Amino acid sequence: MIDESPSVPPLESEPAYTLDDLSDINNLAVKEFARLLQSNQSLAPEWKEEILQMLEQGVPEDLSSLEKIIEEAVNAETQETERKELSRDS
Amino acid sequence: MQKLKRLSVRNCRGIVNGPDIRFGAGGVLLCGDNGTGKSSYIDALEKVLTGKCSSLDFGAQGISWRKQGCHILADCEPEIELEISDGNQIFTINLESSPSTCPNQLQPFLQSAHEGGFILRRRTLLDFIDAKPAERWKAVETILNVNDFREFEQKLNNLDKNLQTEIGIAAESIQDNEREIRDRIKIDPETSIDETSCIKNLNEKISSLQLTEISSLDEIEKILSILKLHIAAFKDMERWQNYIQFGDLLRKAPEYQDIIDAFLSYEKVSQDIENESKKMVGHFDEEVLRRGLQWIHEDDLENCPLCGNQIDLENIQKYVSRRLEEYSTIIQLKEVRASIHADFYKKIQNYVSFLDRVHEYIEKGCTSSYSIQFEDSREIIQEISNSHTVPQDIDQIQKDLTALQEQVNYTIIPRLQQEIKEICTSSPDIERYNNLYQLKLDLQTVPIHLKNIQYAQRIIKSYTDCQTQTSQLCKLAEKARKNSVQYLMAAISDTANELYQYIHPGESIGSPQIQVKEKTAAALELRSDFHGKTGDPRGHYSEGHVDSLGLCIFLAIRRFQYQQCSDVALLVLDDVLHSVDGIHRRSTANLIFEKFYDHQIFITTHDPLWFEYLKSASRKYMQGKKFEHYKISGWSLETGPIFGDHLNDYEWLTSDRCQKATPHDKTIKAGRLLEAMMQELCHNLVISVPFNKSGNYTLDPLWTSFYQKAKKYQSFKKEAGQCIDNIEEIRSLRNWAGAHFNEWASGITDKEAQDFCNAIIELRTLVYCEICSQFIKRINDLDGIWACKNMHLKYEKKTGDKSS
Repeated sequence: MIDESPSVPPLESEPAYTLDDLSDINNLAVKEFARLLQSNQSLAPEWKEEILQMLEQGVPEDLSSLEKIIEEAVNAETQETERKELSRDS
Repeated sequence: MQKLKRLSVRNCRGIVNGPDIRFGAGGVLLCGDNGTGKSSYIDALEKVLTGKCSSLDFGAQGISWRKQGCHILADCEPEIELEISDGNQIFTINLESSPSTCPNQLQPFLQSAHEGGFILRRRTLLDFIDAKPAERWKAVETILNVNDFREFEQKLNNLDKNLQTEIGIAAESIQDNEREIRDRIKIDPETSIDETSCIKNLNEKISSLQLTEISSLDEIEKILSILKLHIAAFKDMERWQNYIQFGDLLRKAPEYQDIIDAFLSYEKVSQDIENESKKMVGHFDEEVLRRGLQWIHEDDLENCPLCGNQIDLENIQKYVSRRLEEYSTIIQLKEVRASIHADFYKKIQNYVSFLDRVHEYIEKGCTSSYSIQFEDSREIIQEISNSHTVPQDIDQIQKDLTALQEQVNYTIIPRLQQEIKEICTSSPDIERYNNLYQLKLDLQTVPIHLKNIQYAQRIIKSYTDCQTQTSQLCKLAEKARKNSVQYLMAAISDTANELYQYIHPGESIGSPQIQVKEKTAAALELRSDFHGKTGDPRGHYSEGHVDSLGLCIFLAIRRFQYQQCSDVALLVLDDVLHSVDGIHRRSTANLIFEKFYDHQIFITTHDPLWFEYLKSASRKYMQGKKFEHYKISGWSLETGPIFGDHLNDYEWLTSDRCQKATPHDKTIKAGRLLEAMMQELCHNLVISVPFNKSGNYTLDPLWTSFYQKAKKYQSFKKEAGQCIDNIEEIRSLRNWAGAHFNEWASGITDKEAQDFCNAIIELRTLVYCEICSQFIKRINDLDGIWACKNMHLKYEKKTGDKSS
């Protein structure tokens, strides 16, 4: 039989994946995405935390939790504006 | 595990009505010259299993299964039936079947089959090598099925794009509000809009009206209350403004005479059309002719949908052109009339709109004079306007228009103009009032616009912060996908190289590397080694090496796909090798059966020698699984492929059909059976035949070699000597008859033909075992005796005994 080697040679010193990992390309991409996220230093912590949590269930089907983060960020800015205006009016 | 059992095809591509292909547990080998229908079987199999036909449905204009899937002479749809066994039961699927509606036992198999990836054609193979990197990715992606993650990636991209859109909308809002401020208080484009610049320009207006300037926006409320007092001094200014605007409107009243002129032109051209029509005979509808022709072109119709007659496009075009030429004067007049009609309608609409606005000022109480006469006239003009599409009563319209000209244009409008002009001469200082009023609006709206700008700026900041995150996520997700595919491609490349080295050991070539391109979202580069150098294989490889490289990559992907999902254990290779030489052909045959013994294999080839190699390799590696072998001996448009395998011909020769056939047909079939038998026997008995470069071994060299060997094999000679001597004596009949009709063949008598048939049938009974379903073979382990598998037929080398 062919393809009986235990693992795929790693790319550019990246961690090796097993043949089991390779048998599901979508989950492999999820694992690789999580690995890249963990080693990324420039993402905001709340974003990183949220997306990593989403990836725990496999390929995420909806992005509503990310949409919620955006909504909250915009609301916070709006409320800050209103607060400043109120303080100026008073 | 599901296995294919039988494929029946009718009216499809090059096949008219079968013959059916029966699959052995190991599979099928099908050999035939180019253009004899081999690929038609593959097309049919792909269509019934996957719902598509990749040799037709690849997006080329005018080529599709719908158009070319049917046999060219057939007047009905293709029919395909495929029998599939799950080991217990046989199921039949056809073109109507789908994975969701088929029996439960078949669903996983058909669902996986729908994903494709088990059929390789030579064109697909070369396309993969020749493809641009992005197309190569696309070809692999459908097989690898990374769709779930790509969908997620797409959603991330959409989220990122939505944020960019929101940022764009906020930026537009800033621009709109800035433009409003600049227009309103005249801030030049070079000056930025902020509180300071707004106060500066507002103060210019304030000071011009001798009011106290402001130093901050907080003081706006104070100055607004002062402004209100100033404005209040002007009493009833709204009424005065109405008079002035009404006066302006009346001064700019549209010319009534224009309507009359347009109408008269319309009337004249209508009369011309009527006069011209009286000269013509019969009914003519230009629109029907033009649209009908356009419709035939667009729908590519071959038959008229109304009467069913065949459409002769060229004659129809000529007819339509002739008819249009005959009626060209009327056509031109109609075009002129349509243009005049549009002009008339536009003018009357314009006048109606003018009267509506006059009506508004009358309603506001600007005048009470002439209101009853005015409303009557307005109503009539509106009616004329409403009947614009087809003016029905031309005389009445003309009468109304003329009467109204007298009443409205010569009487009411001039008198209103005079009245309002006189009123306006006694108005107060409207300019100062307007300036005060405008300043009030400026002071009310500029702070709102400024607030909008500040809000949009904050929104932009907030969205930009988020978009920085989503943009990074998109890039990381793309990188993750590309890395994953690269890991996979590395594994596939290794397997492909392993397979390639099997075919080309020690040739210092191979090591294919399928690499994901860094700079594009989805593209694959293909590189491989050539004597120490790495590059595009097409740069150095021979055509044969490229052929086997493509095949090995496909086989590696198939192996990987099978590891992912083993529901479909099927490998179909459609004439994949064209330029591969003898040694490599044999290695390739061995490779396929050694590495894919766990698949059911269907291979077509035009190469008889490779066919023999494949047969030999299938026996060696497929662990006793049965293979069906078919040879296509002929093809015509009317008959489709004709299988030349010995069973078909033997059945025919021993049937009633043979008794009724012509001597010529009998001789042809018997000759063909003899040739097929000789091919099997020379192979099985290891009889040397003079080498033929093309690999196409015909009856003469096969028979001569067999006959000489058989005469020396005492036990066989004892049993079959008389029979083979008879054949030797009369086999020239076969040459006379040839493959097609010729003059010599017409002289063959029925007795001669029947004797020939009988001799060959007799020989067949001596060399073919019906129980083992095989021809006798040389068995080396038993001192080279000739026997079937279970010794039902056995010819000892020396004793001369035959036991059966």
